[in-house]
Amino acid sequence: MTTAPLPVSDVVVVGVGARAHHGLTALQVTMSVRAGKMDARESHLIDKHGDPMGVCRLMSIGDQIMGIDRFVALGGPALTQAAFPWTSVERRKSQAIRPLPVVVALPSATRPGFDARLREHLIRALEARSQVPVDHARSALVTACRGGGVRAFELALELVRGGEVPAVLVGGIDTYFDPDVLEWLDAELRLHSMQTENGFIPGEGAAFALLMSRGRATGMERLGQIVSAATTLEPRPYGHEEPCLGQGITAAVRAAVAPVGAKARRVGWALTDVANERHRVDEWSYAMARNHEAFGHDLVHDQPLLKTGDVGAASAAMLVAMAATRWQTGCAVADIAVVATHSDGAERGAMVVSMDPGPAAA
Amino acid sequence: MTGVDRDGGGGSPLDPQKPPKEPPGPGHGAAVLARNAIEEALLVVPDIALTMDRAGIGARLTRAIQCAYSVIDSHVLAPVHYEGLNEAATLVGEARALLSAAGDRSEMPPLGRCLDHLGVASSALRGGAEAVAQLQMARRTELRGGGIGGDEIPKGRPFRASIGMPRLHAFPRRPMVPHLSLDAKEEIAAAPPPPKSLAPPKTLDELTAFAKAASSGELEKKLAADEPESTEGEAAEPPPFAFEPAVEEAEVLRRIARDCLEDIAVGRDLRKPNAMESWLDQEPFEQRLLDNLDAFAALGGAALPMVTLYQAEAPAPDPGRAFATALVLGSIEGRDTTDVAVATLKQSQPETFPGWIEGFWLAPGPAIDTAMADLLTGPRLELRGLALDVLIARRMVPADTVRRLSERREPVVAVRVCQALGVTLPRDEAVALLENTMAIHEDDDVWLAAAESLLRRGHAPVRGALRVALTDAARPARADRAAVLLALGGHETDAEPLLAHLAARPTPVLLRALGRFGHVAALGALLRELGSGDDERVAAAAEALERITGAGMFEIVEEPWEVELPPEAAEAGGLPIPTRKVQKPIVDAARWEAWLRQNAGRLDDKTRWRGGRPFAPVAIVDELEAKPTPPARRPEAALELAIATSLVSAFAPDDWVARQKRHLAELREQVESLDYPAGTWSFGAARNVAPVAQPEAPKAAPVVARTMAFELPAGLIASLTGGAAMPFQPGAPGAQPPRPAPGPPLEDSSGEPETLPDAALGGTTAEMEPLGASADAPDRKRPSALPFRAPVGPPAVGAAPPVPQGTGAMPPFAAAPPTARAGVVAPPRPFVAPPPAVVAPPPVRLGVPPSPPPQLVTPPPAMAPAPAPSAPTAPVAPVPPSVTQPPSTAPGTDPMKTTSSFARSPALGPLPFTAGATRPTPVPTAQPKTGLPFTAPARPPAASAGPVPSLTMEQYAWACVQLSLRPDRADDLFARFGFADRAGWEQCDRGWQDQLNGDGVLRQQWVQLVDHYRKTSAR
Repeated sequence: MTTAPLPVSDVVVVGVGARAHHGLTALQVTMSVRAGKMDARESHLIDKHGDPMGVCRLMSIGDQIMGIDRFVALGGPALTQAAFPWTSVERRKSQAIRPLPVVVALPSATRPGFDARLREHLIRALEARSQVPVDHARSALVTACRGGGVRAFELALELVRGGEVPAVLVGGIDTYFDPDVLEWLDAELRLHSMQTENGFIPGEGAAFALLMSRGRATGMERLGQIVSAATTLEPRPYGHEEPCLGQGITAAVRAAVAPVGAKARRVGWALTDVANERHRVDEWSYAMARNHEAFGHDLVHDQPLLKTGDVGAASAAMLVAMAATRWQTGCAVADIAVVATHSDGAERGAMVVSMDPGPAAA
Repeated sequence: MTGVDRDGGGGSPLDPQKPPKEPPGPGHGAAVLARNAIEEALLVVPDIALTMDRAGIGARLTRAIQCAYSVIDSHVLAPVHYEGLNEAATLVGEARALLSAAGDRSEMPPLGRCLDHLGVASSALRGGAEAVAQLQMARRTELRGGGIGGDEIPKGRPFRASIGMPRLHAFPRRPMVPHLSLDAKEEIAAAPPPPKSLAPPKTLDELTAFAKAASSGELEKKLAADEPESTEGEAAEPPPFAFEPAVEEAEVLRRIARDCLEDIAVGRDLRKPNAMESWLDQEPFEQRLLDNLDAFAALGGAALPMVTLYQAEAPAPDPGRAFATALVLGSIEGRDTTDVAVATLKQSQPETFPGWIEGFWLAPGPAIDTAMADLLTGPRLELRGLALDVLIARRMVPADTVRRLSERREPVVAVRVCQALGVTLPRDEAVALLENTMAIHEDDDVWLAAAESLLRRGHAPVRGALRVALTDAARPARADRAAVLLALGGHETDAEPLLAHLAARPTPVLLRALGRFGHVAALGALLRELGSGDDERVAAAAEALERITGAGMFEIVEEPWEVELPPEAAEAGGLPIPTRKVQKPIVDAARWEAWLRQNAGRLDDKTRWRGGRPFAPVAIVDELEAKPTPPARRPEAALELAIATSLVSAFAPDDWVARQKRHLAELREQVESLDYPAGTWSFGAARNVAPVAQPEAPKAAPVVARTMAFELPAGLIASLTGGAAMPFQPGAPGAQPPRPAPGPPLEDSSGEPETLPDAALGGTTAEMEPLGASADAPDRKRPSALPFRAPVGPPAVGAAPPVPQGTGAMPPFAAAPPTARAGVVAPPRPFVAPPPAVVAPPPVRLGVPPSPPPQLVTPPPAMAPAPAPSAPTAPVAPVPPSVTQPPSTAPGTDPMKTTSSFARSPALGPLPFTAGATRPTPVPTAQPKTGLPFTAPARPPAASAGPVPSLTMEQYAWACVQLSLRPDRADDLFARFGFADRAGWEQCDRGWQDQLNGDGVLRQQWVQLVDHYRKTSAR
């Protein structure tokens, strides 16, 4: 890996929040993943073999809570935590907290069990739960599974760079703990079990990041920066008649790493949503091989979803929150990371995030 | 929050490093005293076998501890400072009332002790509150801060992850209180059932019916009848949910915390390399352990109570849990966390102590040092030993503490003090104390620990004492371990006695040590050991040969895994034990012999060899850094490096790998800068170099509460430790070691100029430095006095020791060991006083039946050594292998294993100390009939074959004591006083007894003398 200086982005991360089954804050989730914690617990839901389904789910949310209520229970505290740097500064100014736009990635609307109330009520419910004033006019929902998480960051970057808002909260919320979703995964042989090796362990979680333009973030701790984000569509996604050759994720990664040099071997850390499923492993392998000149020789491929369980649409924000937290706490494996996500559908996304270059950026 | 340390000197309990803005007020000392007294009271509660409100007492006292911490953590002008003292006093008063109502303190001593502790706490709190009130009144315009109910919590520091070593985490939280089990240790008898009662009649009709029932006897029957057990009130099992209900978020965190604690406990074992791992292979396991530590710390204050609960719920003593508790709480900043860990430790089983030691050692918390210093003033000997182990391992033993403890006589303490003196105190002072220890301690462990530390401090004269110990047939265990130390720090002239000892008592440890000794003369003996048939010795000999020659004679061998199979495996017909391929030095004697024939010529006997090159200390650093070095060899290498260089380093082979790397890098730099002549047996190369700056050890905290509660009266201390009755004064720098005042001790080999036998010096006599001589004297090089040179011609037929079958003729370098020369008895050494008793070596001849057992030869009085402390004696004629005990392979007799070292003591010892080992040797009690402190001989009087010397009363009393303590050395004693035999002594004894029985005053003086000598001799 080269030791070229860090790129300087105009959008910085000044706050993160996360919640998963083994942590209630971004720090706890990150440190639990780092320590290899995973606690998939059996549930009262039964698979087609009559065995209880195991899900990485948060114990502080009862199993009877499902749908939008579960999304709010997951996302509200994470949103509060991510927005804390903003709200604390605003309170210190003794003025009303200015509302911020919120961009939330959600599971695909076509996924079985999708609660239609999410479209109408989620943002307001999150606002009520988190006590963070929300700019509803500029807020948005992205219902495109894991790849939609990167799309949400794209939208947030546009908002920040547009200069009309002081900051943007961007993240994702998802849970697979729903009878319809689990039944669908079970039927599709995608639920990891004794009989299904090529499946993933469902999880749930939420993560948010508070993005600001570098110029506005004076006096705030900069946890990292968003260098680039790119999304594409995979022409042959999972379930297609033709074999998938990873063209979509390859293009997304290529576009994302361009600002740091497609042949610079500068990226030393890859955080992906790859979790057990063969087709995701293959796709990422193709993308990594085709973009190998962008990665350092000692590239570390992190797969945190193997510990959190698959957190679906929250994956991209969760990975960004983990990277930022590890930079903040001094245990990151590299100063530049690529975040890559693969939807169940055609959406593919990749981002490059990095440590903040510090005073050099000024 | 304004921080004032609970001892009045540092920061707040949550931030000990925070400097105080003002000196502590009267409330701080009171709170510290009260907190410690309350903790002691809590520890006594389980001993009270009475029915009482234990939960209520526990809740009040733990709340009182929290109040005490609020006081400790607040400024003297804060309202909480006064309120905390008052509230704590009230709570303590309530707890006292509950305890007082439980029973009579005169019938239940633990209850009395508990009430006393609480009385101390109450007095301190009320006195402190009064003083604080007056102070606050005087400065009432300056009051600041909130009350006790405020939500102010000290701020933490930004979280930083642990990389290689644990970080000291600090997060916002309230003071932590210990979770102590207050359940009674003894079963409490069930209280009698309450008397049956009937509802009183309320109407006239009920009264009439009641009277009728009473007169008819129905009422009596009703009262006598057993009441059926009511089942109405029992709550039925709640129906199970079809789903899991939500739990509180704190419970989520506690479950994660428990998961982390389990992994940390397991990590204690995982970080210790197994048979096929190197020390560097520990690093990923350590990082995994640290990841779990960080994950726990990320959970914040809600998870902290899980630590002590996790320890308390252990079904059996578990060092892993103890390790996790100590490491985790020692990694959270604050004195309260460490205090909680220590409180939990006090309730732990001794089997868990190794885990506690490791955890405290490896944890970063600075409060641990103060807490361990506190423990040193406590009443429990085993905890004092633990505290010393921790402080030694952390290199934080306060100098004052070492000076104070150096007067203690308990071996469990003395050994550790010796270890501490190897790295702490100015060199001259440490040397004087260690010499004093060697002079007055009989215990082998203490003696050898002192010798090892003297070697570490570069004190060359100690080698003379080791040479003497090498020849002490009465102390074979000491001789074995002394041989190892001498091999690590000896001179080239020590080759002969070492080889003689090897011939008499070969052990794998000594063989390996000879490899480090690096003398060509050892090659022959090592080659012979290859044919010994003992696998361990063969492997050690091959390793030593390779270490000296660097021949590169390795082979790949298949070794079975050490696996524990269940009993069913044997019934199944025997499962094949898996094997693994490992590279080991060749053990084929013929191949080594062939190699040596070709190459031994380039190895001269004037050079110390290491790996085929002249030895330099940097080779040991290489060995310590090398991945292939077996982890079991690294403590030996570390000890050798310390002895060879006298560098004081915090390096320990069981430390965090990251810290080891840092220390090794520092050591390499220091070693390379030393002026060490390559290939020599130089010793203590850095002893004249300015010492490396060490972290400032904390001063022993003036622990008011513990000192008041447990410090023994001065008179009692004097009686235990010697005090005015000590025959030896602590040695001053450069002073001669003290000698017993009245009466000649049997063993005191120090203080006399060491004289090497001329036979060992090639016909010249060389004087060694006295033990108390200046340590800066140069290490003189002496000409080799070895009777063999390499290479030499084959030995004469009949003079060679037994040769392993199939090895053919002895190789030219295979010189026969001095002790195994057939028909040769070691010549007399005119410059050395012979020992009082020796085992005469019978001649050994090949093909001749074994000789009869050796006879104990007592020298005639004319040859008896002078009563003055014996001079270091030269090696006596060693006992041939044929008449000595076979070398023990028991772990306890392995000198290297039992030689204490800083690096090994916390981790490797199964138990750092045992309570039983600290008990003094039982002394025969006074006989009621005669009042004598020993049993009078019952044999009929017999006439002595020689003259009967007359003894003074002092000599007679001293002799009586020695006979009662060391009956096995009676002959030696008799010879020393000039008695020809036991009959002579008995004659003298009868004369004195007659005299004493007829004179009461004289008898009283004699009894006092006996008592005095017994005390001094027992030390």
